[in-house]
Amino acid sequence: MMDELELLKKDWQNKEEQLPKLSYNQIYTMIWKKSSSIVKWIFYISILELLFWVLMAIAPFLVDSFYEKLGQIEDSSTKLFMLYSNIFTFGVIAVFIYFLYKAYRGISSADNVKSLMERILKTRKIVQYYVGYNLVMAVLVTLFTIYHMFTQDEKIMQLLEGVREDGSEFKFWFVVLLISFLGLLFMVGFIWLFYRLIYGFLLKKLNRNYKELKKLKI
Amino acid sequence: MNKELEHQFVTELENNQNIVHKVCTLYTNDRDSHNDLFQEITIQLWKAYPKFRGDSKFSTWMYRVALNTAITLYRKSKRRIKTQDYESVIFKIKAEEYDETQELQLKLMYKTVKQLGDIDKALVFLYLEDKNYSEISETLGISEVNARVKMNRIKNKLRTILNP
Repeated sequence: MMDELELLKKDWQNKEEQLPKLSYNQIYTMIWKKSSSIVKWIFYISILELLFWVLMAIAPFLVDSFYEKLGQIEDSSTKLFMLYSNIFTFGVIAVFIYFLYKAYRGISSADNVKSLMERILKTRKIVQYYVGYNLVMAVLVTLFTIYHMFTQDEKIMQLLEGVREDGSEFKFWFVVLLISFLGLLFMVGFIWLFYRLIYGFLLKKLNRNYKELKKLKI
Repeated sequence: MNKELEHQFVTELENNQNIVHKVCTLYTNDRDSHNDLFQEITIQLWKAYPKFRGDSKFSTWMYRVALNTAITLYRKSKRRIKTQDYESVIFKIKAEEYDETQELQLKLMYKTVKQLGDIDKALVFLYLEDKNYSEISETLGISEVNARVKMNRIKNKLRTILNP
């Protein structure tokens, strides 16, 4: 019996003349149309993400009272800490932009199928790491602020004294911790969900096909 | 200079457009999607064209970009209105050319191929285009052995479907 696929191949190749034919002008107009490629979308989204976190980082500098507070700081080690943490924050942003740019440049539609998929996934990973970094930092800063409030802020320390005399100290701490925990959980959960939705939607096909490709490996 | 590049590109694509049409036929089910995918592949080819150095044949390079677009880059555009599925020209078989069993067999095979996953489809496509296993494995980024094994599995699948 003839190989079934050989039969199909013969038929397939015989059908070329039945294919649609586009004219030179039809093709010419096409090259100026807008692409709907997922790489373009991922690119736009990562730019938005970058802008968002950069804005978060520079937001304090845009508020006048921040400078007032800065002026109040007498302690030179705190000043130094502020300086280093700012250098660090913007350094991380710069490094992130560099890696993201490099990853985008590496995406080529003329690559082989597997490598193209891997490069797109890698690009997304970079953004993911950056978001993860920001989330960890946000949690750390929140925890630090809470700690700072209870050890430095006079009003809160007075409140704490009152609670101590009341004898409801345990209840107080429980509520404080619960609120902070829920607040953090909500923030992290919200951002996580947001990402799952956007990238889940964009990369559904890619992930499915990448899995299919991986399965070929024996 | 740029005009020259445009002209060169459009002419090359016009002469080789069959490759793109065939990819579109395999990866879409209706005429609008076919045209939409064709357009996206054209855009991707044009964007990549300045980097095409000619160390491979234009057609070889086209296979890659076209498959990559169909498998990975392309997102169905929302603008498109969904029309009912049509049986694309390539799957219509002229009755007088074949005897009935063969016609049926081919129809069944085309149907099976269309239902394969995106990657398997690419494998079959390259095979039908008479590419050898080294070319297939290079285009997909898998090993030659894996390509062969997978192709044999697909062949067996077709065989079982045709001879239940």
